[in-house]
Amino acid sequence: MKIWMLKLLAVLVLAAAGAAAQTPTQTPPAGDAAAGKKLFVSLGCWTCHGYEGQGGAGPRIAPRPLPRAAFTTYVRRPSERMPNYPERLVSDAELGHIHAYLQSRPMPPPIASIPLLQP
Amino acid sequence: MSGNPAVDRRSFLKGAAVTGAAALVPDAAANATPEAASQAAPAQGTGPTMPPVGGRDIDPAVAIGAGPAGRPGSDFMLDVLKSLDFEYVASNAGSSFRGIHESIINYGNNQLPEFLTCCHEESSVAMAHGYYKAEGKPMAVLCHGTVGLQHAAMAVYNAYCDRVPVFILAGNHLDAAERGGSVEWQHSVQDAAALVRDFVKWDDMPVSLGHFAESAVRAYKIAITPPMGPAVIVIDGHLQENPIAPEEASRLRVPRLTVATPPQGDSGAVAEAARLLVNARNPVIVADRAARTPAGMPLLIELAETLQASVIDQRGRMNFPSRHPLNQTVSRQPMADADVILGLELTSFPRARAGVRLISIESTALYIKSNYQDFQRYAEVDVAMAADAEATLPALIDACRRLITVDRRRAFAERRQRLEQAHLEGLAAARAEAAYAWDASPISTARLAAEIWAQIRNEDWSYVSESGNTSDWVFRLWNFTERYHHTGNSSGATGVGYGAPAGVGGALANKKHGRISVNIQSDGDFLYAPGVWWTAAHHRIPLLSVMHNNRAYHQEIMHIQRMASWRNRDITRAHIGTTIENPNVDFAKIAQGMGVHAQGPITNPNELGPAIRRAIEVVKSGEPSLIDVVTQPR
Ligand code: HEC
Repeated sequence: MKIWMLKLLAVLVLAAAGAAAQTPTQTPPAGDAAAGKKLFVSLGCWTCHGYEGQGGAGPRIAPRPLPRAAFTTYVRRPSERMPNYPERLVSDAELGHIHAYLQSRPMPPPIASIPLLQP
Repeated sequence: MSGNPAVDRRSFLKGAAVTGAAALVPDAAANATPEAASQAAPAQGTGPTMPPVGGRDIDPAVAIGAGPAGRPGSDFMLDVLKSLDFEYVASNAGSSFRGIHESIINYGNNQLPEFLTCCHEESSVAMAHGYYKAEGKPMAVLCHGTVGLQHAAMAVYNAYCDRVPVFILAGNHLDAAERGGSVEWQHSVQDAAALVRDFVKWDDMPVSLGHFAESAVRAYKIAITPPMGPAVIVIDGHLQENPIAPEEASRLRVPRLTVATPPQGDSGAVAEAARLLVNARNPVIVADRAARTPAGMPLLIELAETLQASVIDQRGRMNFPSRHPLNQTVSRQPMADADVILGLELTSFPRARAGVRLISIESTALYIKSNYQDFQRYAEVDVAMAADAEATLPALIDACRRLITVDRRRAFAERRQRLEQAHLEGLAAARAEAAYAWDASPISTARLAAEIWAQIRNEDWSYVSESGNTSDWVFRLWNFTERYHHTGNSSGATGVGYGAPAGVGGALANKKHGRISVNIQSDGDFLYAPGVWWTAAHHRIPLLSVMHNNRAYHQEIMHIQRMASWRNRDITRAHIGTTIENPNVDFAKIAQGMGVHAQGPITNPNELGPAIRRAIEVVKSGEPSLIDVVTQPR
C-alpha cells in the first residue's frame, strides 16, 4: 500500500471518529459551488486535477470527491506529490466551496451513449 | 561592416590568384596565358581559383567570374552522398556550403537527395530525426559549421539521446589564407564539430576529397550501427568549390558501404536470462527502443507469447501492439508483483523491489560518453548483455522454448488468462475514465484523442509525434498494430521544440506510402521554430496536426506550484513566466500565414469532429492541415 493511502486511511478514520463526536449543529455549512469554482482556478487546483476535477497529472477528484472532512484534511497535508494548502492560503470554509464545486460537476454520460467510446 | 572594400579585396584576390599560381608553379604556368593559368590545378596556399564569392556582405553578382575549370569538388561529394541513398537533405541555405548546395540542385538535378528548404537548423535536424523514426533510414542535413550547428545543437542532442542517426554536413572555411569577406571569418571555426562532439557518435573534418569519401561512408556506417547516433562531417568550403585536380580525379572513388551486423547477446548470458524468465512467477518485459526494424515487433510478440509474460511498453519505438492481451502498459499492475524484469533498450531501468531479478539487453552499454548525463541512474542488474535487443531476441526465444516443460506451460496458460482479463479490464476502465469531462470546455484530452481516433481508425494512419502531455489518452484509446502506427515517443532529451519538426519529418517519410500522418501539437512546442509549418506547406507534406493548446508551459506551472508550496510561499503566482496567455496566440492564423490550411481555436467539443473531417480531406489532397484546439491542461 502506498504511504499516502495509509495516511488517507488514518485521516478517514479520524474524520469518522470526529464526525461521531460532533453534534449536528457543528456540521459545516454547505459550500457555494460558484465561489468554489473561482477558488479552484485561483488556487491552481485545476493545473493537476483539470478544470472539471477530471484528473490529469493528479487523480480525478470530481464529481465525487472525498467526504468533506477527509477532503479538507487531505488538502492540508497531502502526499509529497501535491502541494499543501495551509489555512493561511485557503480557509476551511473556502475548501467547503471547492468541495461543493467538485460535487456540482456532472456525472459522465453513460459510456453506451457515447459512440466514440465504443471498442 | 565595410561592403565596398570587400569587393575591392575580391578583385584583388582574383588577380592574386593568377599571379600567385604563375609565381609558385613555374613549370606549369610560366609559359601559360593568364587564361590557361587560371585553368591549371590550384597550388596549395596560392589563393582561390574559383571566383571568390565570400560572405553575405558581398554581392555575389559582383564576383562572378570565369568559373572553375573542371568538376567542382562538391560534385564528387554529391556522388558520395548519392551512394548512401539519401532521399532528402534538410537545410537552411548558407554560404559555407553553397558549393554543395549548387551541386545538389544542378549536378544532381535536385533528386535523391532533394533539397528541403528549412527555416531553422533545429527544424532541419528534428525533421531528420522524425523522418528516421518513420522510415528507418537517415536523412542528411546541411548547415553552417558555426551559426548553423549552434542552432542545430539542441536537436542534435535530442537525436543522440534517442539513438537516432542523423547525417550532418557542416560547412566551414578552414584555410584562413583563402577566406573571403568578413562574414566568412565569422562563419569559420578551427574545429566545427567540437560544439556537438559530446553528443554525436562520430565526426571528422576531411582535408581532401578522398578523405571526404572515406569519412562520409564511415560516418554513415557508424551512425547506423547500434547504438545509433548522429554523425557530423565538416565540409570545407574550398574543398567544395575548387575544381578537382586531374591527378586527384583519377584516384577518387566512392567507397562501398557494408552495413555492420548489430551485436547479439553472448550465448551464456542468453541461456541464463532464459532460465530466469522461464522459471519466473511473474516475468515482465519492459521495452523502450527495442524494435529497431520491422522485424522487432513480431519478435517481441513471439517472446511475450512464448512466456505469456506481461509487456510494459515505454514506447521509444513501436514495440508492441497496444491491444495485445499481454500489453499491460496502461495499468502497469504487473510491475508491483514482478519477480523477473527483462529490460530491452531502456532509457532507465524501472525501480524494482529488492530481490527482483533484472536482465538488461542494451546496445548503449557499448558506447557511452561522460559529459551529458542522459545515461541515467546506474542499474544493478543480474544479467547485463551489452548487445542489440532485437538482434538477441531470436536466440532468447529459442533458449526459452528449450526450457519450457509441461508444468511451466500450464502455469503460462493460467498467467495468460489472468493477464488477458486484466488487459480487458484496463481497456474498459480507460473508456469509463475518458467519459469524465466529456463535454467540457476547454476540451478534455481524452475527448481530443477519441475524436481524432474516430476519424482515422478506418484509414491507413501513422502517429508521428506528440509534443504535449495528453495523459496517454492516445495509447489508452487507439489501436496500434503496425510498426508505422507509432514512430516512437519523445525527443530523447525531452526538450521542447521537437514535436512539430519531427512530425513534419515523419509525415514526409509517410507521404510516399499514402498514410495519414497525425501529430498532436502542443502550443509551447509550436512556438519554438514555427517556420517548419512553411516548410510543410512549401514541400506539400501531408500532416494532420491537432493542437493540445493548454496555453501554458504546463509542466512548469506545476513545478513552480510545488516549489512555492515547499517553501511555504505564495502558490497562486505560479502562472508568472509559465503561461502563454494575454494575448492568446492565434495558432491557426500563424499557420495560415505560412500557407498551411488551419482552423480554430476550437473550444466547443462538438465542433471538433467536423473540423477533423475537413482537415483530413486537406491532408488527403497532399497538404498539411492544422486545428487549434483549446484543451484541458493534461
Ligand atoms: C501540482 C499538482 C497539484 C495541485 C496544484 C493540486 N493537487 Fe491535489 N493531488 C495531486 C496529486 C499528484 C495527487 C495524488 C497524490 C498521490 O497519490 O500521492 C493529489 C490528490 C488530491 C486529493 C486526494 C484525491 C483522492 O481521492 O485520493 C485531493 C482531494 C486533492 N488532491 C485536492 C486538491 C485541491 C482541492 C487542490 C487545490 C486547492 C489541489 N488538489 C491541488 C496534485 C495536485
